[in-house]
Amino acid sequence: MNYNYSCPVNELDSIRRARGTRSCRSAFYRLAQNRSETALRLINDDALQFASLYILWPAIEELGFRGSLCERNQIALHLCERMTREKKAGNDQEPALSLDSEEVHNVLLWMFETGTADDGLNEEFDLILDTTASILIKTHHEKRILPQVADLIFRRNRKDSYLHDLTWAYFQSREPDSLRYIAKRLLSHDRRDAELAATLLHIEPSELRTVRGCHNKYRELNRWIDENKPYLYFTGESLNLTNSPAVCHVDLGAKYLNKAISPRSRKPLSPLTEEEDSCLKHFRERQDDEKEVLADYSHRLHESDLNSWQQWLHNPVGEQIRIAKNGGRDAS
Amino acid sequence: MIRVAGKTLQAEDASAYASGALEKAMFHTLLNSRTQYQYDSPERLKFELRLRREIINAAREQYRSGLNFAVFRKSKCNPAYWERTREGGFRMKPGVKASDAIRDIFENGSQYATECATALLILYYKALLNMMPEDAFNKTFPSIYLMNWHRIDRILQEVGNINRASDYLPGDRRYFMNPDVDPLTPEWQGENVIDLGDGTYYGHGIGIGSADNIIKVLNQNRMERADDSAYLMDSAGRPDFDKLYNIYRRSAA
Repeated sequence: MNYNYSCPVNELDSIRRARGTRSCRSAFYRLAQNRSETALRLINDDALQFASLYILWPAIEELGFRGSLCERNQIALHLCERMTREKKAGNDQEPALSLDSEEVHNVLLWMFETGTADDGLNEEFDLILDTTASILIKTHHEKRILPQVADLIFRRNRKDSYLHDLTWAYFQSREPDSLRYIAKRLLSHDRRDAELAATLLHIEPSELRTVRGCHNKYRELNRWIDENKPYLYFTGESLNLTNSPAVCHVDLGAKYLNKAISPRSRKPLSPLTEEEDSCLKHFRERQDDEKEVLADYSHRLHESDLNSWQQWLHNPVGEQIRIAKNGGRDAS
Repeated sequence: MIRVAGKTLQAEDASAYASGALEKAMFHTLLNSRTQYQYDSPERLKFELRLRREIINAAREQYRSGLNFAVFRKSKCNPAYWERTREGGFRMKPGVKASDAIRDIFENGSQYATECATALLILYYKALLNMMPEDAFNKTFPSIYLMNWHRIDRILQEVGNINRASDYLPGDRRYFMNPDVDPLTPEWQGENVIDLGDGTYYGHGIGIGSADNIIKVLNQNRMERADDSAYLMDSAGRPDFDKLYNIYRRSAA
């Protein structure tokens, strides 16, 4: 099931947007007392935005409407309860609803996609948005919301609001393209955007002193992502761990073999052959700077001339380094 | 190996430290390491070992202070000394002395609530306050902002970095990572701790326990069908002891 939230504007949303939360609650109470069926139709409407359901949550409970809610709203309120409940260490109560079901997935998408416009409504609502993004990304591996999450992170940064949990959830996607959505902010006219992007991408702020520097860094980063995307793995580092998180690294062994890896487990996506295994063993014995030379050269040669690359890889690793350091001029 | 002003120290140089003192044990760890630790003077070495002890003392003081655990959105502080910011950090109020503001967190812990990284930042300030003359501490820190490692005073900036070390010592900041944390409770994504030097660690929210205890608590907060256990990362966060020693030395002069 997918929710259609591009249909005509819901009346409760209109009141909330035009006249505020209190007016929307009053209107809902009045409607519930005089025309309860209409009140229920509006709250169960496909076009309703999550923020309206959230602000009417106490009224729904008070009016005894909970049992008459549609499945989307029932699940959404159940999730809100779980997200806002205090959880203590060792509290292993059996959850009533599995977070990884498809129904929950669709409801979470509705909550997040229609809810982000109202970020800042109150602390609890923002916490629900953070947790919703976190479950979508971590449990459902949902990558479609990443551009919207990136927007939300930078909006909050401009308001000095709390963004650490959302940022953490964002990089839990372990999606190389997540770096691009952040990199775009290096070009922002707002200095705060570029500063946060630099922190999240582990860039020295001194490299961003001029507009030209920002543009150069942006181009360089995109080239770097293009080149290293199959070999990136994500570290899980966050602002909870360090003031300078390195969210991902290049697996030089994978780049040397031109073998894509899982960005989560760092394991190759296809099993290594005996020959690849043996090459990797010799590669790992080398110094870090030599590994970098080998990985870069191997990748470039593989891209430009597959036959020459296969020949080069058959050399002993010491010879590979010599050729790589000479830029391949005496590869034969 | 320890070299002080170009001279290699020997086991008998440990006599400078009281028997049974934590400093003595740390001295032996450095002495027996394959890494060469260099210091400009015996005082500089003593300063580092003392500050490490004070970090541990501050960790134990904080554990007993009644400081509550809360996520940033629910953090709280004593408004007599601190202003709570929109992002959940604590900014010292103008006209307040840093020494009073930091001490209040330890004396009236129940009026405060924060998460593990900010709690550790607080105890670094307390460790320095335990060592430095009060006036010097207040001059060194005319303003303080407490919010995990994100907005950190330049003097303490290095405690926010975490790097692989050849030896881990008492007073080091360590980190337990919980890769499969329950997305409902991101506050359990990891635990910042101080190595207490007796096989236990202090982490705000969990308390004092062995590595196994801390891993057990973190594992209780993993997602459905989790694959990976929490683990202690092979890295440590340390202050820039040289920078702090220079400040300390000037303050003591």
